[in-house]
This record gives sequence, structure tokens and C-alpha cells, in this order.
Amino acid sequence: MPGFLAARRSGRFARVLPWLAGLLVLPCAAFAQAVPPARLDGANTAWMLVATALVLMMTLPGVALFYGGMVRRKNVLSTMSQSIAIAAVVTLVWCAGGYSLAMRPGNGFIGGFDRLLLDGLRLDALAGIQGASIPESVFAVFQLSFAIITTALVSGAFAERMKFSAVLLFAALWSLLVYVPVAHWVWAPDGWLAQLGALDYAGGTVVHINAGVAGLICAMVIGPRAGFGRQAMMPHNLALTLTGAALLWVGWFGFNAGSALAADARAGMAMLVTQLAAAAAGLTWMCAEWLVRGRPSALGLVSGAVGGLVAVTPAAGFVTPGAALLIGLVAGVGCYLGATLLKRALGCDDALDAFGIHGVGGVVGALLTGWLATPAIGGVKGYFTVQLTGVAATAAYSALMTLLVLLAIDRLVGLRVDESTETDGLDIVEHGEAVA
Amino acid sequence: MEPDSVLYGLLGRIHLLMRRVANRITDVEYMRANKDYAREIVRLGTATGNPELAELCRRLRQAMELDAPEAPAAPPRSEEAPGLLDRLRTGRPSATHPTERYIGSLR
Repeated sequence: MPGFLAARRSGRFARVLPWLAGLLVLPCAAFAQAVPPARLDGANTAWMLVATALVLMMTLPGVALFYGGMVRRKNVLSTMSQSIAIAAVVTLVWCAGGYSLAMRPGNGFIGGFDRLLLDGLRLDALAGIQGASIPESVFAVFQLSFAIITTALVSGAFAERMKFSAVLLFAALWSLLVYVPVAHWVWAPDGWLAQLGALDYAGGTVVHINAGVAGLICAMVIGPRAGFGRQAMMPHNLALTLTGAALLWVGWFGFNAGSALAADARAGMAMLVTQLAAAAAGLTWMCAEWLVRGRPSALGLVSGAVGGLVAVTPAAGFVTPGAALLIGLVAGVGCYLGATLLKRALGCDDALDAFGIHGVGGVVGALLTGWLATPAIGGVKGYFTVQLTGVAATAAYSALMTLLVLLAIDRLVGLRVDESTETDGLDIVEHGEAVA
Repeated sequence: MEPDSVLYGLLGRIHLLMRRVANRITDVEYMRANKDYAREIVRLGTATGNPELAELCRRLRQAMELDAPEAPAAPPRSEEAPGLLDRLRTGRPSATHPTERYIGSLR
């Protein structure tokens, strides 16, 4: 008879059992002690508060100025107001349900309902993300700043012709129905693209491809501005655009380095590669334009820089400085072609090149991340086919849902201003104000 | 077309006279950029009957070539398929001045 059974029959097992149980429990207890409980880190929290402010600055006033300077004088206030109004609307939507559905545990496609109206978000609660020792409140507002800028970027495509009421509705519906699900797919641990291994460090897919494709659909559905292709539509003040671009560039450090959710080496590397890609892309676009047109333009220089920032966004936490330079070079050329040749080929009036820069730059960055991501930086390897799946899924979903949102808004309030409003300018008709 | 300094000189004087004579505000920049708008202002200015204004409108019509037919937007097709650089360059053949550059695209 085996010794174990014999011992059990004799009752000695009963005396040995507690000791056996103790032997089993002891390693577990020791292991639990080796993993310290998550607790708030002041340095990380301080950095994340700053990063959030930087990302919000990218919209207020970064995008507002960037876009505002590029439209005609009669639409400057309207364009800038749209960015500010979008920030306000998306904030409320995020509070109402966006945060819960985007970031909380749910299923592969959408998050849970445990933070509707931010209910349950306690003062002392942590973010709940592995490795993130920051308060949940900070995490929530950091992610909000991403939702805001993504929605604001879309407005560049329908500039100078969409009703203000339609813009407000679009901000609410698009941020909830398009941005939130995609954010969950990519950034929530149970999101299906995250489970697949798609890499998107700071939002190349969630933010830029999403906004770019949505912008293209908006431009197609709403139609071109009156006189598009025949009349010169001169930017009102490119100095505003350059100022806005500079704010975007600096704010992007919060965007990419802040996505580390900590003040650590990875954040530092993300900041470095962000700067490298922006510089490389800006100079590349500038050189391309110099070659084609005979002289470099200020708008081209900053557009290239923004294109590089877009492209490095998904890669920022995964690539080396050398890879960032390559991303910048490719993005500079890619976004230049996207805003010129591709735009002419598509033939639709994406007024401020939301697709040409953000869509194309996002695709370039997402795909290059699959090739250039290295475990030495981000601890993971990239796969081109997985990245392609993420790009395709996001583009398809964004296109379809944006179309449905636009059709719904058209039924409710109508999308486009009338001809006389477009001629007189949205500033004076929609807002009763004008730039001197 | 005359250089910008000449054009803006004419446009500025027309702007002042239109205000004084016809009580009408014009957009000088838009007149420079948009020939249709310029033609309309020239027509209105000529219709006021003010001799000085009519003379300025006549000179502007000549200087901006408002009576000349519009150049076609698309470049003539060549037999060979153009390369990338050619397509970029011929897409907007004279797209270096702001008034030609911002037709159909910002960049």
C-alpha cells in the first residue's frame, strides 16, 4: 500500500496535514510579499498632470490656431470656436459614459458601465492599469485629452461649410460611437486589437487614422466648398498656423511621453524619438517642396513636422532613435504626397488635409511600427500583419460609423450651411462676429 | 499680368473710391485673388459713372487681364505617362504665387 494512504489510515496524515498546508502556503505568501501592492507615486502623478495639460494645450489653442490660420478670414472665428466647442462637448460625453466604455473592463469590443457619470471614481483610487501608479482621476482626464484632440482634428476636413449646430452634434456622437470603441479595442487590456498584439503607443491608430479617415468621409459627404478647384482660398494668417504648429509640437511631448503613464526611462525615450521624427519629417517635406516648387514654404515646414509627429505616435514607446529618424523621413515624403498628389487624385475637398496628414501619417507610422518595434525599448516585438489588421479595422469602422453619424445629423439639423452663409462667411452669420 | 505693386495700388484706390462714391466696401485681398469678384467690382465701379473710378477700373481690367479667357486648370496630356516629379510639378503649373497656389489645395 502506498505510504501516503497508509499514513492516512493510521491518522498520522491528519497530524501532518497542517504542516503540509503550511509548506504550500508559505511560498505563496513569500511571493505575494515580493510583489508590492500598487500605490500612488507622486513623481509619476506630477508628470501625468503636466502631460495632460500639454495634450489639452494641443487642442486649446494648438489645433484652434493651426486650423484657424489656414482658413479664409471670414471663417477664422468659426473654425477656432469649433475646436473649443468640441473640447467642451467631448468633456461632457467622456464624463457621461465615454471613459467607462473606453477604458473600463468589459469585453473585446466595448468597456463596462461601472464608471457612467464617473460614478465610483474615488479620490484615492488608482488607475487600475498594470504598472500605472497614478490616480484614476488623472488617468481619466489624460485619456479625455486624447478624445478631445481626436475629435477636433476631424473638423479640419469640413472647415468653412458645416453648421455649428451640426458640429456640436458631431462632436458628441462621433466621440462616443467612433472614438470610444476604437480606443477600447487598442488600449484596454481586454480590447480585441490589444489581445491580438497590435502596437499603438500613443494613438497612431486610435487618434490619427481614426480622425483622418473620418475627415475624408466628412469631406466626401458634405461636399466641396463653393468655388473649390476654381478660386484661390488663401489662408487668413499663416503666422497663427505656425504658432499653432509649435504648440502642437511641444504638446506632443505630453502626448507621447505621457503615454508611458510614468516619469521613467520609457517616457524619456518617447520624448526623444518624438523630437527626432518631427525634425526629420519637417525637413524632408521642406526639401521635397523645394525640389518640386523651387522654394520651401512655411506651411510645408510645419506640416511636415506635424506629419512626423503623427507617424511617430504609435511607435514612440517601441522604437530606437535611429528608427524614429527613418519614420520621420518616410512620413515627411508620405504626408507631402498625401496632401498634394493623393488629395488631387481623391478629388474631394478635405479643406485642411486631415486625411492627407493625419490619416496618411497614421498609416505610415502604424505599419512602420510593426517593422521597427524592438523588445529592447518596449519589451515587445511588432508584426506587420497585426499592424495591418489594426489599420484596416480602424479605417473600416471609422468610415462606416462616421457615415452613419453624418446621415443622422443631416436628418436632425442638416449638415451644411446655405450658399449665402458660405459666401458671407460663417463668422458673421453663425456667430455674429468678425475679425477686424 | 502686372506686378503686385501695380495691382495693389489700383485696388487700393478703387477700394477708397467705391466707398466714397458708391458707399460700398470691397475686399482688396479677395479682389486680387478672385478674378470673378474683381470683374464684378469693376462692373459696379464703371456703372457708377464716376470718371476717376471708371478710369481706374479700366486700368485694373487691363492690369489683371480680366477680359482674357481663363487658363485651363488641367495641364495638357502628354503621350508618355508622366513621372512622379512631373505630376507634382504640372499639377499646378504656376502655383508659386499665393493667388494661384491655393486653388484646390492648401499645400
